[in-house]
Amino acid sequence: MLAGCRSTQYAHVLRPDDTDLVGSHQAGAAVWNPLVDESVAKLLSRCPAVHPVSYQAAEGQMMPPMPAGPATVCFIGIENKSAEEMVDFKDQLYERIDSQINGNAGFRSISRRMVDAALMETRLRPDSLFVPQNRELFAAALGRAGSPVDHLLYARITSGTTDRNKTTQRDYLLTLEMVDLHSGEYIKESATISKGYHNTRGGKWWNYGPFQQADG
Amino acid sequence: MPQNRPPRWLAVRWFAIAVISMVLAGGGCAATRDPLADGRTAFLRGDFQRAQQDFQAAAKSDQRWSSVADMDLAMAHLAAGQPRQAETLLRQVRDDFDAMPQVAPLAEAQSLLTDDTKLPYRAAGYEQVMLRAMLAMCSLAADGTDAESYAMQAQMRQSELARQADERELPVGDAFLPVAFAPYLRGVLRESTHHDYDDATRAYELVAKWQPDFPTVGNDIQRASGGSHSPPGHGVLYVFACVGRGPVRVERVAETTSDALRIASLAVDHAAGQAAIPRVSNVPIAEIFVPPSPAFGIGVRVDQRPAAATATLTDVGQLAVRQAEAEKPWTIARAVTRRVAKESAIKAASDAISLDGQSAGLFAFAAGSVWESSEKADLRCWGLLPREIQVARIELPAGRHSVELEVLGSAARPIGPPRHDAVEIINGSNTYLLAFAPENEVVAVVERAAGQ
Repeated sequence: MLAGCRSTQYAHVLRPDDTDLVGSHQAGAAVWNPLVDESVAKLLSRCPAVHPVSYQAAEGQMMPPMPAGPATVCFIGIENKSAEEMVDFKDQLYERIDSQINGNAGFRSISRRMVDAALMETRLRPDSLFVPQNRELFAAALGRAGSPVDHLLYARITSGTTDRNKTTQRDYLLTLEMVDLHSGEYIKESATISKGYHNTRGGKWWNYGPFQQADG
Repeated sequence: MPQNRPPRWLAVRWFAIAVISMVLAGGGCAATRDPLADGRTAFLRGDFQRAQQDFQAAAKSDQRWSSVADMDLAMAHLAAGQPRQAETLLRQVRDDFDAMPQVAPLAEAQSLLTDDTKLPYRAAGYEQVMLRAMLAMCSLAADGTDAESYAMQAQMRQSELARQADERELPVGDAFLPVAFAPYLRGVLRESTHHDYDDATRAYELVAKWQPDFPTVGNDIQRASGGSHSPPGHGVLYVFACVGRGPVRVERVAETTSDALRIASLAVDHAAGQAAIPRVSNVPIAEIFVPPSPAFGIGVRVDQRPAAATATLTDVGQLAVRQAEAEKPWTIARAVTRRVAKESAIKAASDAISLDGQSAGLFAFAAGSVWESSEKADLRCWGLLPREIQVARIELPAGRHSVELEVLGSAARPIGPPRHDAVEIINGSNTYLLAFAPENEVVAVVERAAGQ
């Protein structure tokens, strides 16, 4: 005891039904995971079940045999426009969204490495792919690499912050936007979670509990 | 009746004279030899093998010096082109520091009777941040897998230290300068993915906030927010430079300030139920000293043409000086508390042998002189950190290029011989050169292309 106790770290593995930790200063698993699950589910529910993979043949060129199958989706990436740094969450959210898209029978996502290679080859920024000419250049680069693409998928995280004395409310919004490269049409779905940050444990009850002080 | 015994005051006087003589005779041996000095000298002249041997020997010979010896050894490994060994060592030291107990009563009590050199070494705040920053550098020089994680750890550690300082009512804004190297590196790595430009923009904006003097940060923000990593057919060469000699600790005699006495009186109050602080005018403490170095930056020539000069991203010297200055009242208070403990012990001993008046004074003077002269400031520190971390960014056509690096002096003119190297630039990727210039010469260069 006199020599001092070496500080020790303990850990345990969470069960699937365990509650996620709620971050005290930033959004964490308790915010991001449900946002991803809800927005992806909404998006997929609006998409047609199966699309054939298509190929734009040049004039005079023979149409190659087209395998019928799931539509290919190129997930460009997540744009963080929120007030918070996502630290190590961004790459994990990418993988979570990508896996859920890929897990749907109607879609097959393109490998992230292929996406990165095409971005590097074209030197196009992800946010510049909203411009139709840039989209075509990018899709052509993917096609040349053997990954023809039907849809581009973008994810964007935004936040809105409301301060009231020592309490802060932050609304997190995850928006998914899927663009059909053949028709140019797009569908958009989003999910939102609001979170309150307080200086004291009682802040939650004072503002959002029976006292309902949040409305003024 | 003990008629033949000499009077007590005579015995005490002889004792005092004997003690003072011992102090005077032992004065020449009072200075402790720095066991890392030889290794650091070898490092500065570029003899990394010798430096490694010296640091390994120092770590083995004295457990109290092992942490700082390991940190210096890691720098020697990194400069010698062995980033994986350096990373392993630094990770071990980081974990050891993190696992240290907040309070070690036995060592604390021992240090109260002797000095702080008896305590296990605790890294200073700036060293804890730089540990993670240098880990990022090591990873970058190896395969880059964990570089971004280490950079984030450095950033988070800095925030944690600032929060702790705020709780202790230390001047956070002035003392805890943020380390801009961490977000810069994150920006560089995110930008090189070609899809996380938003993260890169945020990181560079943080650099602009923390290190507004960094001259190219405006270009970095502009490129990340609206441009692209590099033009088609080009790649980017980043030269990260460890420039100058970093902060070390030296012993100084500090005058006791009112702040320090207030903190010490609180400690004494708490420990002994009394607030009496004896007359303590000055105490030995360790102060941060940044050794002078003629190196102000590194000039980079590519294919015989001047390409760029490195600019300061993080001033490690300033970081250390400001943190030490903010901590100074606490450092002095600790020394005062120790002095109080020693004087109280002498007084108790004097009372126990029933000395009074002149005899007691002489005894207290003699014993106090001996005890206090053996007290040394704790000079252990990570002595091979650079004074500054600097960086230059150069876009180059893909292919092999010759590179010359030369140390620039205060007038931005070369002051040492150029060092020749060749780098491979990969289309759309980063190539990293890590250069060490502690004095007037680039003593080591480590290269890694991101695709390798």
